[in-house]
Amino acid sequence: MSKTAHTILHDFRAALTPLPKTSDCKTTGKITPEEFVRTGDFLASKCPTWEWEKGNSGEKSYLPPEKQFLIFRNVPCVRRVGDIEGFFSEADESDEHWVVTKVNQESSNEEVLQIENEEEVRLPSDDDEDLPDIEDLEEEELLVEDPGTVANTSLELLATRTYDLTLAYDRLYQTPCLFIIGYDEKGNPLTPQEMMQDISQDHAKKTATVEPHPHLSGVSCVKIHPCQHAHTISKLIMQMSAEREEFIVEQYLLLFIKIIGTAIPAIECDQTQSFSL
Amino acid sequence: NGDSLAKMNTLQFLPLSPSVGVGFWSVLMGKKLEEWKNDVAFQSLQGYYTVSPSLSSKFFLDELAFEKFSSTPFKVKVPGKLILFNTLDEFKAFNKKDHLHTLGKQISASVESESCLDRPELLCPFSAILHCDFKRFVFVHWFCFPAFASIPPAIVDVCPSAEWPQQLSPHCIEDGLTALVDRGYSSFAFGLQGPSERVWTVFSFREWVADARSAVAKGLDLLPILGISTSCTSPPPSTPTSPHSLQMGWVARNLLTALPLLCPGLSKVRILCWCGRQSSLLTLAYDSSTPDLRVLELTGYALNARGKPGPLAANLEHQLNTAIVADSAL
Repeated sequence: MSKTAHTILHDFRAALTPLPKTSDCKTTGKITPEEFVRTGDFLASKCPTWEWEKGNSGEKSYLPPEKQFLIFRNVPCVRRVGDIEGFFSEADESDEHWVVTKVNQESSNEEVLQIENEEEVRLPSDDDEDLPDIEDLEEEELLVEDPGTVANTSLELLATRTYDLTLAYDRLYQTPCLFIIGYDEKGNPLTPQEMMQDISQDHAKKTATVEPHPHLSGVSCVKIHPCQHAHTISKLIMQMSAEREEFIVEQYLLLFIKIIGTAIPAIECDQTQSFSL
Repeated sequence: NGDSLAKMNTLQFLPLSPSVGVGFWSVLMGKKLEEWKNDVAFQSLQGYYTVSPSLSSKFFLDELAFEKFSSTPFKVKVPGKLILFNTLDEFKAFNKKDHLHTLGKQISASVESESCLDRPELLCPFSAILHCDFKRFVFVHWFCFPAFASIPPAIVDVCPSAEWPQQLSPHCIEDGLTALVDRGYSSFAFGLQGPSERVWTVFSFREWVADARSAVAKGLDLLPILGISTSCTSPPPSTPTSPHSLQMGWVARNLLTALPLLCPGLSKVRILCWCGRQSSLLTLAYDSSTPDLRVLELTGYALNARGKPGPLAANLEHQLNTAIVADSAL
């Protein structure tokens, strides 16, 4: 898959950027590739839902082959950003660019919505003339009367979008970078435009772009631009220091996930609540 | 939720609903164009399901399909076959009923040879029957999760969670499962024996069957618990008068059907549907007959959104087409 103009320019600038060799994470909010691996190992050990992967393209020589990026698959996204009432009312202003928000836990923990009738199931063939006629391919004789099978599964499906979240190392900004790939309630990949519905509107208009996945060949996804990450993290680290809380670099991604959650408030990506920083 | 589950009386299995990741199509496209060329491809691959009540019916196929990966207590690998056709006519002409019977024979063979004791996943294979138009990014897929269409064992009892032994907490079982995985077992079925010195032991499916056979031969009533990594949920009744039921994950189906063949004389079995904090502990009863897998009808083809046996189609032009993605970049 060829790259977008954005990606080409970004990769060109990244290639010219020397790799950081010394750590100054606490003052700059930036990390080295070696620190990315360390904090990734820590995250995967504390939250096994995050896993290291190698991908099938774009291997970075400065990262171990088996630890090119972290991925958290099938993260539920029960509702759209616009449906989260009062989401920003509890926002805690911590920065001119980012807010640390408190998602309405009551609503996010509610039972997921049920599809109440079949009409609400989006049929891919309904609005796409390029698709073959699915009805022609149905084979009724394969339907078996079976007391052990739950019937009407199409009506029982949980109406939940899911996302695969990727954390990759961005050489240019020397921070992790988030990429998301979404699926609808039926497991069909979402278009980039549909994924934008699950990005906070502030970020969707400023820092979210459609880009090729850095390590999955030919797959497009939505990228949350990392230009503000280091600035925001360094401010939070300073705040932690002022409150006499010790920060170690292994905790970097735990902090990062809490911050990035503001860009994707409806995607339940933060499974780290039980860990204090 | 155990108290309410105790009143349930029907066990059914929730069919798997496939979710195919964009990464899978991307990897498949590369393999087809660079390795397999124009051959009709029958390749081995693997998918997985996640042990989670909210995703209990979802089956995932993604870029890991052709990689080596191990099952974990939360992510269970399922072996499968890829059947890829170059044209829609070939896809349509493929004899799917014959294919289902072939899969059924393979499952029966794994029971007869007892190879399923070491690899219980042989009891829950899948086939992905595909036609891909890589020029237009249009993909047609139909999944088959073969299962014997038998009457499930009856639910005798669902143990209220408040009455569970303390040592049977999800946390303890998770530790045991992790130890089992560390020992090289990578399976969705496992045994639980205990408590001995206040500790429950987790062991392999083969060891569970050996213990169960021994207990049946001695006429003992208390068998070790059979653990299955799957959810077991209670759906709301569709009408106030409709019978209550429990829905167990599809992967448990052939295993529970084959159990009386693997443990002759088995009449009752305690099952732990292990699903972390949402686990269920229930007792099932079998009638006295031993099933003959050769004569049981087979089911398992996924239904489409119309509720009919048929494939699904997806147009991924917006996800895989270079030009469109470039135009979408903001």
